[in-house]
Amino acid sequence: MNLDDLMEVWRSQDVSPLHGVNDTLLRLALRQDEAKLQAKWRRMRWFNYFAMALAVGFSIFFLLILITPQVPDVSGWDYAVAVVGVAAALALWGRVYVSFRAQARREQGFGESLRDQVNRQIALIDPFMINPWATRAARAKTVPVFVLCLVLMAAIGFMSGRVNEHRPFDEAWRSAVGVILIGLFSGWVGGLGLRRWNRRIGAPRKRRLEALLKELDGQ
Amino acid sequence: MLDSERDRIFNDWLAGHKGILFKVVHAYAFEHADRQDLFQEIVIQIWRSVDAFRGDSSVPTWMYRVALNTAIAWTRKEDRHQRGKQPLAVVEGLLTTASAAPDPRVEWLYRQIAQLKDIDRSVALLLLDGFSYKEIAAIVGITESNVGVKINRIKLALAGKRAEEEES
Repeated sequence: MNLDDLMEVWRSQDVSPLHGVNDTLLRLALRQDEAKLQAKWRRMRWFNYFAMALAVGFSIFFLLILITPQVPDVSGWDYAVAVVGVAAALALWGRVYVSFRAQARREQGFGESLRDQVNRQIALIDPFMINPWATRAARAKTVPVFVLCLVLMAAIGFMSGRVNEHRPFDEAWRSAVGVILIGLFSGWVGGLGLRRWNRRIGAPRKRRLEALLKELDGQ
Repeated sequence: MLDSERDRIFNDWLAGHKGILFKVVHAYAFEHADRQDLFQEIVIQIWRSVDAFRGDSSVPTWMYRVALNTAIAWTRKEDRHQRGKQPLAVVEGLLTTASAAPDPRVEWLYRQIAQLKDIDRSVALLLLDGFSYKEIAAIVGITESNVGVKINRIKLALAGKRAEEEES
């Protein structure tokens, strides 16, 4: 049996297909998917709004603190801490927004072939696979975010120490240290979770995708 | 694009070329539940792709491209499910079985295709459906000469298997 014969056999499926489609269930599946997709976009939009609201909220929070009469001896340094806190919150929001946009652009940059599809999937996994402290390039991205988080946490801790505990300016740093420690612990727990995901899902998946790329190139 | 317009285009595509989807499903999934799952995944991706279709290629080429990309990604996902022992979400009945018994020669072809590697399986489907080397190269993302090498290997494998079965 030569290739032409095989192709003829193959095409017999076009006349008598192996399957049919349940139209009612198909409509239902598509509607469900549409709803799921919209919900996903809505979540992303809300996340963005939430991050922005948080940044603006911090600004208002710091401002209110400074004009509240309960805070004793408000000095220029209090204003400086507030301004730095607001700047850090806004910069973090900007960083999140820019990285979302960059990821979306990266995804759109791939073509439609199987190879592009595989490369796109690798690009989706890669940001989670890289140790944020391992290379100079990774550190260049991580350090600013880390510093901004520290600054924001310090500002929040400091101001809440001034307002809630009525601590004098030169003792409010104790509250800042508490908040920073909580933040560092949360970051450490998050990092452990990410490493576990990498080990169980990310790394094996990347290995398989890379094997597929090798298969594409194999003669 | 309006939803009604997208509905119309999707219905036309499905009415004219659903055979492509059945072929891809049969080549990449082997159990009834898996076929239901993969078919659902593919139709959803085709549905989502309607907006992105610019007419640079023919509709069958586009559908093959989306279906194969989905099937390759689905294979990976399936591996994950098996590794994690998570149950697959299955929509029963989306894909119905034809009343007529399948041609045994077609079944034989599917058995041979199932033994090929993921990428070779895609190339075999496209080859059997009459796509040119150039079109296969564009869909898969490899050079035409690489397509030629893969096709020769597939032909040899099919011929060898046929000869083996005729001897026994």
